[in-house]
Amino acid sequence: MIKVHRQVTLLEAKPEVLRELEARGLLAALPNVTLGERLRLLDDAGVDLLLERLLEGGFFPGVRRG
Amino acid sequence: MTLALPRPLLHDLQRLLLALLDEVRHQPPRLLRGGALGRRTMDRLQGALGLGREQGWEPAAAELGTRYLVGLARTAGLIEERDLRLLVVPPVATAFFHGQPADRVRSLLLAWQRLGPAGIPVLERASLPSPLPLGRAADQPPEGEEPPLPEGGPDQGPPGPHPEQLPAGTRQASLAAPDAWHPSTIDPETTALLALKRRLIRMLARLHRSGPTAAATARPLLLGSAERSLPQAATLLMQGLRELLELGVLDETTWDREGVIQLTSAGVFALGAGGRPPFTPPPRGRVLVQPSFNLVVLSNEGDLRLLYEIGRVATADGPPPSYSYRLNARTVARGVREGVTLESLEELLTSHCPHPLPQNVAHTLADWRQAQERLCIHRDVTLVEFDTPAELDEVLGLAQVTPGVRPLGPTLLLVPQRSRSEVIGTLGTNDFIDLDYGARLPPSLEVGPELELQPLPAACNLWVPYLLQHYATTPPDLVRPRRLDLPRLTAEVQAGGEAAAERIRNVFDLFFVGGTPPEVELALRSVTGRVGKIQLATAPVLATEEEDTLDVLLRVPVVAESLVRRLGPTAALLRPDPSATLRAQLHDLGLTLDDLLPQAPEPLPEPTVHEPAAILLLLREAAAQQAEVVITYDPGARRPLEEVRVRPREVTTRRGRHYLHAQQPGQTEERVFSMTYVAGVRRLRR
Repeated sequence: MIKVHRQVTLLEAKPEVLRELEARGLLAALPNVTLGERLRLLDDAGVDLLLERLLEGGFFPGVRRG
Repeated sequence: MTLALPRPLLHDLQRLLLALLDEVRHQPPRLLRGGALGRRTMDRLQGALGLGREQGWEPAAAELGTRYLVGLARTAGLIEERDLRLLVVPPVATAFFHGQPADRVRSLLLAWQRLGPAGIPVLERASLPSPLPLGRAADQPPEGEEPPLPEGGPDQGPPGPHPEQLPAGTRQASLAAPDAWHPSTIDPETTALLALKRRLIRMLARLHRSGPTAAATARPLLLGSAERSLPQAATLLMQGLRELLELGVLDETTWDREGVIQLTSAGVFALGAGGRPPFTPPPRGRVLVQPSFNLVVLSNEGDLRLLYEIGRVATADGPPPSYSYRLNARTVARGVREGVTLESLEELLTSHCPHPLPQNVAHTLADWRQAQERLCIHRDVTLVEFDTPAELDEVLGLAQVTPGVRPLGPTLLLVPQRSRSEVIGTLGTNDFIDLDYGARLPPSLEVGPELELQPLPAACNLWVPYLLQHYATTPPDLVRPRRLDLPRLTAEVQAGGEAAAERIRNVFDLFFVGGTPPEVELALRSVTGRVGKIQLATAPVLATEEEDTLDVLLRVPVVAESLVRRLGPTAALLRPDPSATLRAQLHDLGLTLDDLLPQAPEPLPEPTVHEPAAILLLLREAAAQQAEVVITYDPGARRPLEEVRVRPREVTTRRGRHYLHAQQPGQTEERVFSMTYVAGVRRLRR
């Protein structure tokens, strides 16, 4: 049996980058679910806010749609 | 040149003009013969240039739009210099000047004067404010009729005003008698909007072949209501196309490469069975990339496509149209959010820059690209979750799996949107049972009594563990229920403000049965200061010693009407409003309401003042009000301290000393007290 989750938003990064984001509190206020050491499931409504924070924090995330 | 275009409106105008030009670009060459690009195209340009009529910026828009149109047409190789006069002057001027006041026509011509080769010949032959010279193409109809447009091409709807439709002789009187230029009552904006909508309907009809659901979903997005203005319609169109992209009707590659070109009728061809002409890049050497990250666009005509692409990733230094832009991480991030990739940005800069990119710019672009590889957000993707890693391995082994699909963990498979239907279909044909959660998950949790969280039986989506972890208390054992952790929610709102409160509400609305519980709403409001004033109001409570007495009283109509709720065997809560009537009614029944209330406590004594000034003030006030006071009289060692109850008459002053004239109760004679020895005074309650 499989479960298909459509139109989800994922954050993919190396484990050390994710740990750094966690340590700096950039993911704390955003609903996210850990899906392994490289992946987080995000609430799409908060992605724009996350992008702002990441940019202010010196990160330059890529965004791929679809 | 000064332009005061609001940036969103400018973008809408740019998009629409680009769409128009793209349409022009795909016309058969014979449409360009004689300098006439096509009457309907010019009608649309007229509508586009009239976008901001209500905002009063159409001269600027006309200038801007014509500059862009001419520049793009020349860049695309559609027209030559000798055609410009014929292109700009007769059809556009005739159409756009129709119905315009003379002063507006004059301002437009003055604006066009700055257009360069396109406008100057007009003014050389014109002697403002003499009648408008129309040129050969307007005075003489183009050779032959405009050929029929191909299927799916520009619409066949009612055209706007056209020089050939105007009564003979009226053109020469354009400036002197503008009213003579009213051959039609069709509003140009309405005409253009209707044309745009007709084009969309045709586009939807084609999309219907690709997927009825996609077309049905996109239709309201694309069409909107009839009252929408043209900029809004253009914006809706953009939103609709993004929706189509998400629906998988258009693929990302096409979107990235062609951008807003998908707006056009040629784009409709691409969606249907027909092909489309290849994209012709503009010539090189038109963007100067400086080491200071300034971009200077070397284009006199303002190449719309180039300006549009640059404007997505950089900020203009001045008001539009500005040819100088600044590039930094924030502007690039804005473009990335809209779908620009760093690869396409680098290609854009290198293909237009006349020399190799400055080393620092190239290194920064490389750094940004490397940073994106470290951290990437995938939006609107499909995630397939398998029960076991073996199942995932089995699927990966299937030959039909599309490239781009990749595992994200032992049981997770990332599926790009363009491959979703194919992958799901493959899984279905290989006997995988598909539990489709769709775009929106059903509510997963219910808040029970005492804020207990109860997962619903079918709640097995990925968000439930997160919700329980973040929004619920952690019980010491597995037996006790989890409850909503209100302090944690309030702390989150304290840290994040109203945005965090809104996010929490969204989560509750999405995942909890019944949405946000009132307890949570109150907790959120208490942090954000939106609770307002709360007070415990006093309401009369009717209390009796005997239960029977209350039973009898509650059968009295006036009491029954005032009853809110019985609080117990011997008490009832009443409405406060009719208390006077109720009191009278009870008095008529031989009852005294006060008898049923507890005795009021003794009032506290008035405070004693000791300050000489306050003593003096209080005594004078008591003398004026003829009120009794108690004075503390302390004559020192001669006599003991005494408290004397007196009614002050007056306070007099002799040789700098104050004296109180007062009368003691029960005595007729007045007594004089030296204020020197008055140590304190207090009022007596009346």
